[in-house]
Amino acid sequence: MSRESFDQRAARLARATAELAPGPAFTAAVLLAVRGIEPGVWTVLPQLGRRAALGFGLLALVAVGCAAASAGSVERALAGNFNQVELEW
Amino acid sequence: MPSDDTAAPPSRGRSDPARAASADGVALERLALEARQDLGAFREIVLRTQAELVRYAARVLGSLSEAEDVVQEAYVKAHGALTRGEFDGRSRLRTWLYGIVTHGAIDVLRGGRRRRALHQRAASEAVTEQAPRAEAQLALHELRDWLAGLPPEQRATLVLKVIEGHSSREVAEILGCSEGAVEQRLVRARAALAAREVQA
Repeated sequence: MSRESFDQRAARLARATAELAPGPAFTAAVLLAVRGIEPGVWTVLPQLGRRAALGFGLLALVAVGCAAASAGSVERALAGNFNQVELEW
Repeated sequence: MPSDDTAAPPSRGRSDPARAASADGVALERLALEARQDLGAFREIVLRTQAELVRYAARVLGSLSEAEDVVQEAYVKAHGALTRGEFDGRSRLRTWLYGIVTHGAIDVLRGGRRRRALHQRAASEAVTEQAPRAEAQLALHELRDWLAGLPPEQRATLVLKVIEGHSSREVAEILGCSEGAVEQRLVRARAALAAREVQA
């Protein structure tokens, strides 16, 4: 039996390993690793533009206003109840 | 490149693989531009190139799981470079990715990372690897034993040229050296393997 030449061996190993492929979770693992080095929110926010920043600012103002208003109404309610308790007494 | 057939979209006609490969290359270059801001475009690049890159790294390293690690690191580096606009398009995207993978594989072959990784994986490899058919697994081990002892650059050159079937020009582009250096490495690698055969 003749000995396998260099080129024959290389060709055989190339054919035999041709079907090697990454596992099914490989793509997801890569994307997860890539997301890990993506820029954080503080890097992204300035890129959103002036309008988006203005929108965020207005939203924050409205939220603060709502919080303040609700806090005031609670105070008033508490004060009202207190007066009522005083009158009854 | 010879392995374009695996990366080309399935809708491509089989009658003209060269045209299909060329069209796929153009699509990859377009995706590289989009990937600067769009993770979806980068995902498409990964899907189109992962099979050939992992196969190539496995052939150089002799291990599929180590190959997956190296290629994953290469994609992270590539994504960083793309988003920073460091891919200048002087080489093709596929060639550029092969280059990053090659450097990663050479680093693993050179450093202690390989030994450490082998220790950690030896027990679990049979379970965690993508369990290729026994024939492919045996061939991978045979390839690893055959190329063992060659300097990492010669090993990568031999795999790219002889096993993967790239042209000398492509290998030179991937390795960032001259075609003359590629031929020289091949001659030395073949001589070293032949000498070992004689001794055996």
